[in-house]
Amino acid sequence: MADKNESCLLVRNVSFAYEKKYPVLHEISFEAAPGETVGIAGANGAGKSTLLKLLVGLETGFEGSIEICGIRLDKKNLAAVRRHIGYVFQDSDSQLFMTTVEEDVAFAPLNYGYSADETKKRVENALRSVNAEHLAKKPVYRLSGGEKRLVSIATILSLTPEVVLMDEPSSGLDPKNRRNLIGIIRDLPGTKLIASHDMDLLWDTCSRILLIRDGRIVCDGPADDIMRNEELLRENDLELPLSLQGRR
Amino acid sequence: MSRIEKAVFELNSIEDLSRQNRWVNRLHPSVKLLLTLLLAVLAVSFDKYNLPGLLGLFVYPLFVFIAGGLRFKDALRRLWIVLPLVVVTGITNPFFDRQVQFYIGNFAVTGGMVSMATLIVKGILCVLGAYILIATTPIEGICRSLRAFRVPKTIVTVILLIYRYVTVLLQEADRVTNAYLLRAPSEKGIGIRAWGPLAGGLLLRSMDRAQVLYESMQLRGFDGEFPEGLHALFYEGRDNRRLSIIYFAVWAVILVLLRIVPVAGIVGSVFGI
Repeated sequence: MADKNESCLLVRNVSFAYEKKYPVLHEISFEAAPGETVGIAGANGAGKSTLLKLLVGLETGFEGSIEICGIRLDKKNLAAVRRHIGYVFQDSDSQLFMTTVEEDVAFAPLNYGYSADETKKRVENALRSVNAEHLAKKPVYRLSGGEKRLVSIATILSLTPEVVLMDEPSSGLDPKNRRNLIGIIRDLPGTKLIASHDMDLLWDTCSRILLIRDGRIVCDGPADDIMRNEELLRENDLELPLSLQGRR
Repeated sequence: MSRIEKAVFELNSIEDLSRQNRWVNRLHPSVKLLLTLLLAVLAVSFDKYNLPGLLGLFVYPLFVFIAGGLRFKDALRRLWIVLPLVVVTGITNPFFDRQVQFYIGNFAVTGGMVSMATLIVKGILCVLGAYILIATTPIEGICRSLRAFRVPKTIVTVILLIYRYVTVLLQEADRVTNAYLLRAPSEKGIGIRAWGPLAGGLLLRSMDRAQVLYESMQLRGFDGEFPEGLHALFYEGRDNRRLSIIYFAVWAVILVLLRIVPVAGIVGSVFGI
């Protein structure tokens, strides 16, 4: 578990409800150290995506506190917080809105005031880090699902965020693209939070797992312990990773 | 391919055209925007009976079609929806203005017929002008020029967002239509009773997707205005400024001359018509 002083992501007693009657998250507390890869596992409707949206300030009006890289998340600090955190949406189609790949990747650095030369460098580096340099000039609508996912990741890497959040990054990918994505996630610098019910993806990429059920953290520990605990997973409507099922 | 898919395909094809690496595409967007406006203003300024003079202005769209590698067939197909509206604009003129202007054989051509034809040609010129602009200039370039001409940023941003969201709306419409038709295979179109729920559902789904898109933009620092340097970053190097100035000067002079000098009359007198 991360030392509080080293944490670049600090979540304390966070509760949230879209409507007061129906709370989605209850008293969520955790922290993540720089470079740590944390998986957020849970069945559909457990609150994984909502938690990620809170962390980037897309949902507001929560109780408790969130700190990203030492900056407390509130309306005043939203731009500063977002400078340090990147969010990969579940649906890449909704994340990419410019005409060509390079324009989409350049959008964030230009908005944050980087010079043209610096922006070009950042675009090249971001695309290189997801092995997508060859896609730079390609129109977004011509990309395959796997390519769109890679470019989505590149769009957030162009700001070199300290914290990267990913919502179901493997959804809709074929095995080859999924394997490619796992390699890229492993190589990404910074703290990573990956929300998914793809247990194999979490097993392959995360050192630590937060297990969420009905908006509560039911377990927080090393991936090796949680992923092998079939009973715990079954109680939370999840299954052992396929790669571990054959070893029983 | 469904009609909606075709519409999305056409939009994407125009985007591809605008990003070609031909010299017309490399001209500065402001030059092309100004010439389009000049073409429209000059076309509108012609007298309602001056059809021959107006035809001379077609030389500019024709030139851009050839230089930009645009296909007339594609343009006609894309403008097919707009052209009937253009034709309708002057349809009542022949009923009100019945004074005979000249005869073609025994057929009396009235002032109303000529003014209707003039209105139609004016409309076609304006539509063609807009088409060659968007087919040779990326939307970001056009918007950058609009901002340079002090068009309020709210208006420019709205233009850009509409351009972005129209594809989202079309894609959602395609999904909804396909889902309906798969469960109503015997129907040729969408039944009138389903129009209400489908339109409502389409609107809500489009709003949801547009919301996610907007959130994605917000997370990357969008504060209500597209970054001005975006177009310049990838296209500035290829904007040929000297050529752009010469191109503007030459075409502005030609278009104004075509407006001032009765070219059709001169050509007619040369051939003794």
